[in-house]
Amino acid sequence: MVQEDLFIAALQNKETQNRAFQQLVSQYKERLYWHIRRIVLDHDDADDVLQNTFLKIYRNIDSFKGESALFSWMYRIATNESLSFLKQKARKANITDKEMQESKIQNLQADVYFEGSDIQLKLQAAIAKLPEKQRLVFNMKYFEELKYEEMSQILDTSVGALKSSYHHAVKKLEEYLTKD
Amino acid sequence: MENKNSHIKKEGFKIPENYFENFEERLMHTIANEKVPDFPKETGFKIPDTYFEDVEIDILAKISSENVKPIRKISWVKRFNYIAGSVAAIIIVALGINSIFNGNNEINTLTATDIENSIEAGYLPISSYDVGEAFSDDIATITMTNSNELSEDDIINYLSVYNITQEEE
Repeated sequence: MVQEDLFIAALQNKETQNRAFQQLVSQYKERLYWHIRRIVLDHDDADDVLQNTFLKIYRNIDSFKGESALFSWMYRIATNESLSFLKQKARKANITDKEMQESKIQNLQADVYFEGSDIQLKLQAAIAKLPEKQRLVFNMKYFEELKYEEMSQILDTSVGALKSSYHHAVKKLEEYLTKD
Repeated sequence: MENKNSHIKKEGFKIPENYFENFEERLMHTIANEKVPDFPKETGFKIPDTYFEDVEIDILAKISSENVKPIRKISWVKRFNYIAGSVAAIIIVALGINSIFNGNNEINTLTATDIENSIEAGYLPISSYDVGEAFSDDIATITMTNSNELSEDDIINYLSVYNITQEEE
């Protein structure tokens, strides 16, 4: 924790900021990328959102008060950026969020950066049908293996509610996958 | 302490003793011990070969360009024009506000007769042509009538069409 405090101080100090930020990008780019990619699904969109996320982190680092872990704060920004990106994209295409998810899954089949098997594609299609919160919770728990306490800080939701969301998500996914 | 759930009607149903006391604990235990779902752990998502090296360079380049914000140089002539323009705008707005709040706005004191007199005297440049142009659509539906030529039947017909009846006293 002391080490994190020192790192945050380096990020907020104009003299050391750029060097510390370089370290931050190097350390978190992959974790944040995969978190974003699982939400927006295609690589180009994930690239846009990742860059915007780091820019936002850079612009707002001075306002970070250390009320949560730095990692949770960055994950929260990445999550919000991804969701806003999808909503904005749906609005521009004049379609609903649900239709946007369906179109993303359809595009996945032709995506050069997707080499999943049939079952992996089916799983993504099933995840896309989940309500937004359950989708996030499932991805963060199942693929990213985050602890409920960490997810609670990122999503600002109680641990109990997260466990319940994950439970419901798994049940629905099993149902979707066995039905089709 | 009063039981918050005392309003719930039991209707003859019974539950095991202490059922609700440890319900949350048992539910969380069930969820925690749920078997790991048998879904693939790999998503199948791929990325370009050197993506993570490239994206780091892109992000840091964007940030360093944010640090160096261009300073716009404005010539003395342009600067004078901006200042003079701003001063003039402030004076105009101040005069306008003053005029409104001091009640010097003559439009507020005009009566309908004043306006009619002005039009008749030719002070307002409005001709019948202007009126015709402005209300061309409405004029097409207007029929000029002479009230002296109206028969009693016409009047009764008009009143019945517009559902006008004599008020009861």
